[in-house]
Amino acid sequence: MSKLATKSPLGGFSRDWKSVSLTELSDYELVSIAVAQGKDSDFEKRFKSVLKVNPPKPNQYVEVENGFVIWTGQNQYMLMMDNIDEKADLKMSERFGESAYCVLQSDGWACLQVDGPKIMDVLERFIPLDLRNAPNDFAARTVAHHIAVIVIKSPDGGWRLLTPRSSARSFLDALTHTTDSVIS
Amino acid sequence: MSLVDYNTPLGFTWNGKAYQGFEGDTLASALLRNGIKIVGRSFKYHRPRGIMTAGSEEPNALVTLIGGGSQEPNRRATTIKLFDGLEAKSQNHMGSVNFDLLAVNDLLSPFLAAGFYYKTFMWPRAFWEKLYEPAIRRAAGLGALSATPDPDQYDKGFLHCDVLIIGAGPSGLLTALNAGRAGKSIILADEDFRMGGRLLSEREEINGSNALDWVSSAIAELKTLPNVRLMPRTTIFGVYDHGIYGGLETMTDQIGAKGAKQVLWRIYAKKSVLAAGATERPIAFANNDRPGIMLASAVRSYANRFGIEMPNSALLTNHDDALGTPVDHVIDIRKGEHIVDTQGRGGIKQVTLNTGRKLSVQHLAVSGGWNPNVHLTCHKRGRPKWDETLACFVPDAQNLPAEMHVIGAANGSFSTHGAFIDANTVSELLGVKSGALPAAEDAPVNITPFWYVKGNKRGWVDFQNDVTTKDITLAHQEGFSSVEHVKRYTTLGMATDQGKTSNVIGLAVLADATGQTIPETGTTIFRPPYTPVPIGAFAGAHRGQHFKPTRLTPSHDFAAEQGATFVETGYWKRAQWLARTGEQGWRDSVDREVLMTRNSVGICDVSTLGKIDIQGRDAGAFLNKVYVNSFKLLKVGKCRYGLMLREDGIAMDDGTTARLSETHFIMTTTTAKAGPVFRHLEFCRQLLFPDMDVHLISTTDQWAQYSVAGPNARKLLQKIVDPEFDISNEAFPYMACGQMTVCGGTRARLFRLSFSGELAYEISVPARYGDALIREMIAQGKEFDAIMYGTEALGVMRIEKGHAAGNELNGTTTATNLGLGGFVSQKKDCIGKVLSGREGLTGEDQLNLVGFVPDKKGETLTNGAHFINQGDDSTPENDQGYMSSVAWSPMLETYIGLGFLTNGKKRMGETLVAKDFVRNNHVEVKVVSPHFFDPDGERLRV
Repeated sequence: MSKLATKSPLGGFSRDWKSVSLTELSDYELVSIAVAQGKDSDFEKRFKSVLKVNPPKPNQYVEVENGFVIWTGQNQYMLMMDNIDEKADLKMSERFGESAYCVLQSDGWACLQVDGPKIMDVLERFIPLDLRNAPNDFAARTVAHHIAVIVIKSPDGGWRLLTPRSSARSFLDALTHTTDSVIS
Repeated sequence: MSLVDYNTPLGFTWNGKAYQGFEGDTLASALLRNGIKIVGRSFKYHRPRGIMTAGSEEPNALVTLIGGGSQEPNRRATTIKLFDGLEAKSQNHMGSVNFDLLAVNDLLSPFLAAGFYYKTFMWPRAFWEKLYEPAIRRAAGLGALSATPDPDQYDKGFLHCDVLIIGAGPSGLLTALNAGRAGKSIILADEDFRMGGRLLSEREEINGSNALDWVSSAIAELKTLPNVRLMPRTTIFGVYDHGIYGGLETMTDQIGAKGAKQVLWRIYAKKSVLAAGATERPIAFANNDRPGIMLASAVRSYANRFGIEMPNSALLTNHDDALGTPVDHVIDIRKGEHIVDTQGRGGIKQVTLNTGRKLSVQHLAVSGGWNPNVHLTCHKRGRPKWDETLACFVPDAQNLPAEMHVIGAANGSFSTHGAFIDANTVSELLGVKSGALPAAEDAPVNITPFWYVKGNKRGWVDFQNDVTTKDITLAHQEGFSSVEHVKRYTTLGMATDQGKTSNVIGLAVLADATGQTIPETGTTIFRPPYTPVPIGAFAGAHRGQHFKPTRLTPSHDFAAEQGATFVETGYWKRAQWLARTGEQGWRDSVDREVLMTRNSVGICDVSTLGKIDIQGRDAGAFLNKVYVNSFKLLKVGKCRYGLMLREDGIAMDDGTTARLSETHFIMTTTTAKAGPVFRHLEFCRQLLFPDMDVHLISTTDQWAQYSVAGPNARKLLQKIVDPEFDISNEAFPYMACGQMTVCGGTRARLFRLSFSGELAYEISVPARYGDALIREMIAQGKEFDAIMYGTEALGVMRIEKGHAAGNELNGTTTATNLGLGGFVSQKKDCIGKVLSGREGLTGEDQLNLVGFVPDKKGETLTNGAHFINQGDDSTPENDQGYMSSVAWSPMLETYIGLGFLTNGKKRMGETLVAKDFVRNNHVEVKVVSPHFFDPDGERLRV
């Protein structure tokens, strides 16, 4: 048992406005999965075998047991698991064998859950994508306030915003500033 | 019946005096309601000016809004929605607006004609800076900035739609209804705070009832449609590539109000429909700028929309449309009458007609016809075409922006019936079914073009810039016959109104002067923005702390607690030094950090170094391509220093790469080059070597990484690393690497690397543990007096060791320059290898990285100094190289420097002069080895 305490990128941030709430999520793991050159069919078989679904298409995610997988680039995916398992990358690596390369990315990102009836009024001032017309399985990479972000339409109706850990406080500052501005 | 709510009075002040308006007023209508005729002074001649229009084309009524301890100049009173407590003042006068001392300029008008500033103030030359320029600056410029920070907030946003409809007049509303009912995603934007366009200002019937009923009903229905977004007070100011439109939404005019004052929208529209209407133009005749002279459409707006009557008034017109203006006298140019002069200094009192007839009037409505608002149709370099029948420029369907349609008055369809027909036609083009055509007026355009009255007196064309018919004629006489030249010589069509009321008249005057037709004369190029956009809106929220992102390491808070002074390294904030009580300055802290590290152990946060995870069967071969030295055969569990070149042979970056398995490497880059190197590697992977099995992903943010350096580094780490992992010198020698656990099971990576020249390691843990790890290491290191050291001490130690860093990898140096020529493998090819061998980068007399010490101990070295041989003149021809890095070495107790010296390797022991003309510091220096401290590397291998 490690004697080191963990610290989330945003210190467990949570704030409620009248019609929008922002909450940092930290109980998750992220694993990047890249398909090995020439191993596409093996990868697809293993993906289906391991995760019970087909890989997502561009700007899409697919739900898997206890999480979902996002398409992040050509032959690249990100598995987001809603539980803590610091060896998730090693386990995935084992399951995918030589068909894919897995890298732990959980600590590289901060994750904000955005909810509330006025959520779109806030996000349209922040995210350059057409989120109002986004399908239910929408996930895409973009930038907000010059900071990278992965936007995920949560199955529960809210949105998840993944942003690099090191600039996460700036991202949060900008998002709360925008929310203040909209909900003023 | 007006659209003003008389049950909701609103108090406001004008030039410090309290007045009352009503909900639904603009500041302009409220001023008129209170009988205020003079609202400002003209730009050049300081002539009294009154409100001329009722819309965004207003050239005269530029006012300063006050509030929040600040002020905003040059706001058009016609576009300010009145609110309770509004404070405004007039501008551009010395003394009061009614008694402006600078009105003397009007008497000097013969000397202030077009381009006067190019012809006068030439002598005496010395007067320019001391007298002329200050005097001109004092007199010119319209409003004044507050010189305080803008107290308002601005925001930006992104909208997406199937159809953007610009303008909510009859054609825009009907198009929105048609497309909205069909389920299209619609944005309907209008610059006015009330939708309805001209229907708000006219007394018309639609379907046999008041047109306003139709407007209300249309808006009410549109509000029920979830796919329609109504955006009043939103000006579409620009058309850009790929169907992108710029929109400025004004949330409030109140300065310092809570929330965003304005939002700058980037609108992505699959199609757009321009229904922006038309702007009425005046007629230029002598003294046509007096307060009380308005456009006829404005008189109707103030009467019908705002309920303000203009008693004792006359109308001058050349077409039928204006005949509906409520006036006492009509002067119809088509019947042979026109105005040749007016009288009344503070406001019009009388007009003189060409027949000699004089009319006493308090208000004069003028209409010279309508100009379709074609501005947005031209932002992609399109040009409008002249319509002889309508006597105006209309959009040219052949060169509209892609996917834009123009309808209604903006398209030259001036009747309401014509506007509705356009709307239904465009709806079909949008692929939606059009509804029933509302019944509306369909008066034909009956106009006789009439632009200006010739004469010796000044007739104003551009009211905002005080440009008269005489100025344009004079410009032509002086050789300016191109419309673009005339614009710049006379300032016609510049400033906040961008010539909305003046351009076409100016063209007509110029056409007369040149003997050409108006279409032959052509138009100037319309560019965004259509109406003024505050710089603050372009900046949006990106100001102050939001100007740029800041990147923080996982142990930033700990460093701050330790009193760190942070330095910006790109977006990162890194601890530069960590001062202790009693230290007098940064040098004290840095010297201490160096000494304590070299004597025991120090910990430096190196999380900012770029970390790239490289995996694949061809990862080793890939690294062989991007590094000058070989990595393919690097053993698992080992690290190696690598140098990377650009294609042109210049050094790009350096760092170490560790091999964790046969297919898995971890590359580190410098902090500054983390992004560029990753981009370069992706370029190589995707384009140069697409057949290789190699994958890259940045793990810079994933791992918190610390350098632990000093003779006691191992002892400290042995208390951190879990006991099952042997990190003794034998088991874990210099340049070893491995995956292990620390502090009872936390996953970690350990690299035995040294930038400081000490026995050193870099340890990394998942970032979530970074803060806890550094606290634990400091706690466990107490017995060794372990400290955290900053980038400054790191820099001192690397200079003492002669390691190149950013100052040396500066985009101009080669491997040879850096003393790393021997690293370039001769057994393999790599990026940059061929061009690094080109002429000029090889052979004798290359710059070599060498060390320098002052000839006289104690003298200060400065980087940037250039080396000159003793006795030589300080000329570029005699330049021998430059100092790239300097530091005070607490170990050697002298300044030391690294620098590039021509043929430097062979000049050890030579004395040169390091000349720094920027700091005026010239020091004799001796050339020495760049490895000042522990040159044989004995300390790092123990």
